[in-house]
Parts: sequence; C-alpha cells; structure tokens
Amino acid sequence: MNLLVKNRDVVLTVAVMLLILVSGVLAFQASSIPATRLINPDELVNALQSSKGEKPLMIQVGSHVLYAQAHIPGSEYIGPASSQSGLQQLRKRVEPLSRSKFIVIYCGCCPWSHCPNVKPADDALRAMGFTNIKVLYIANNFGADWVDKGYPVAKGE
Amino acid sequence: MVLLDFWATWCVPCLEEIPHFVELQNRYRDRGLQIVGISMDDGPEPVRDFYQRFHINYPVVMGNARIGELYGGVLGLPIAFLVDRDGRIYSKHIGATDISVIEREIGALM
Repeated sequence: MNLLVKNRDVVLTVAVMLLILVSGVLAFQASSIPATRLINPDELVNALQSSKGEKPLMIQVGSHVLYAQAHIPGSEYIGPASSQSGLQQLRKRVEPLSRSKFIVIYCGCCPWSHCPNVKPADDALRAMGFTNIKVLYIANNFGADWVDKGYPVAKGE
Repeated sequence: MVLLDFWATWCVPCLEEIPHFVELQNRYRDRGLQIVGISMDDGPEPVRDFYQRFHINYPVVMGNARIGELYGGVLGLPIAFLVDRDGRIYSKHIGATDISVIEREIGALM
C-alpha cells in the first residue's frame, strides 16, 4: 500500500513538473513569431551567395554542443537565449551595432514549435530597437533542415 | 541491449519521454535492457537536478560534439538509438517517439 502511494506521488510530482515546464516553454515558443519575420533556409543561402545586398550577422542562439557539431559558416555562437546568461551575451554582442543592421538568428535544436531559444532572442533584439531581424525557420532540426539539405556547414568552436 | 537517449534539460519533447523510459527500464531491466541517457546540455548542473527530480533509474552521462559525430551527428533532440546484444544499431528515432514503437522493438530483440 505504501509503495502504491509513493509511486502515485512520484507520478503526480513528475506530471506537475512537466506541466509547469511545458507552460513556461510555451510562453516562449517560436510559433508565435510572425511569418513576416522568418527567413527560410533556401532564402538565407541565396542571400549569402548573392553578390548583392547586405550580408547578415548570423547568430546561433542554441546549445554549444550542437554548434560545435555543425553550424552555418560565419555564424557566431552566443549561448542559449532561453537562459539569462545567453540573453546577456546576445545583448552585449549587438549593443554597438546600428539598429538597422541585418541580423539572422537561428537555433535548430528541436522541432520549431518546441524551440525555447529563438523567441526570447527575437524579443530581446526587438526590445533593443533592432529593425532588420530575421529568424531562420527550421521546421524539424538543424540536421534535417540544413545539414541534410546540403547547405554550407562548418564545425568546431 | 541498450537504448541510448540523447536529450537535454531544455528540450521539452525529451522531458516528455523520460517518464516512459523510467518505466521501460523498470519493466525490462531483468530481461537485459539497459537505458543510457546522454545529455547534450552545455554543463552538468541542470542535469543533476533533473536526474533527481525525475527519479531517473538509469545512468546519464554528459555528451559532447565528438559523441554526437560518432553517432552520425546529433543535430536535433531528442534522438534515441536502440542497440542490439551484438552492439549493432537496430533503430534510430528522431524526435519524440511513441513509446509503444520502441517497446515493440525491444520485444523483437528479446
């Protein structure tokens, strides 16, 4: 009987924790970013390969382990924007830049609706007054939607 | 057989799977299943916390880029590999997977 009660308590605790966690993450979910602020992988590749137009500053706002395995050449690692330290790094990096600077942020850690990083990064940049921000739309993950498509990739720190 | 689960504490679909993995480990431990979690978090602090709070009953180790590359690139989470008794990868599941699918595969390998 005691074991049953204990197991029930464990299940309830885990369920409540998950609920709190999911609610918290949903508040930051990428799905709420308007489509007009998104850029698709093929559009970004075209922009990078074109001889015309301003080249964006590209910032990866996800996990370092994922960045070290594969990232867009020329993009900078800044730290997960779902954390306060990541957001601080992001703000510090862009502070000296013109507010009209073309910036692309991306993550690719998880399916788009579950990414905890791009929405806080987008919000932070907009709050600082940046007007030319695009968020790279990665539907599933960076592996499936960028690496496996044959787009340019760099590895390492 | 070994079920390798690449996950991270900030990955919601990963966390949704963990209670199911705890249950699988309990159910099939005596029949040769060993689950191993590989955290792709940038540091161990949040992992220790989750390990205790989720009552995880299998080992969790910290992953890195090299481990990811050895498994063909772990460029999105969660990813789970089921490895048979001969050390061969039997299946790879990208994204949150219905636990019944994995359980069927475990049954087939027994």
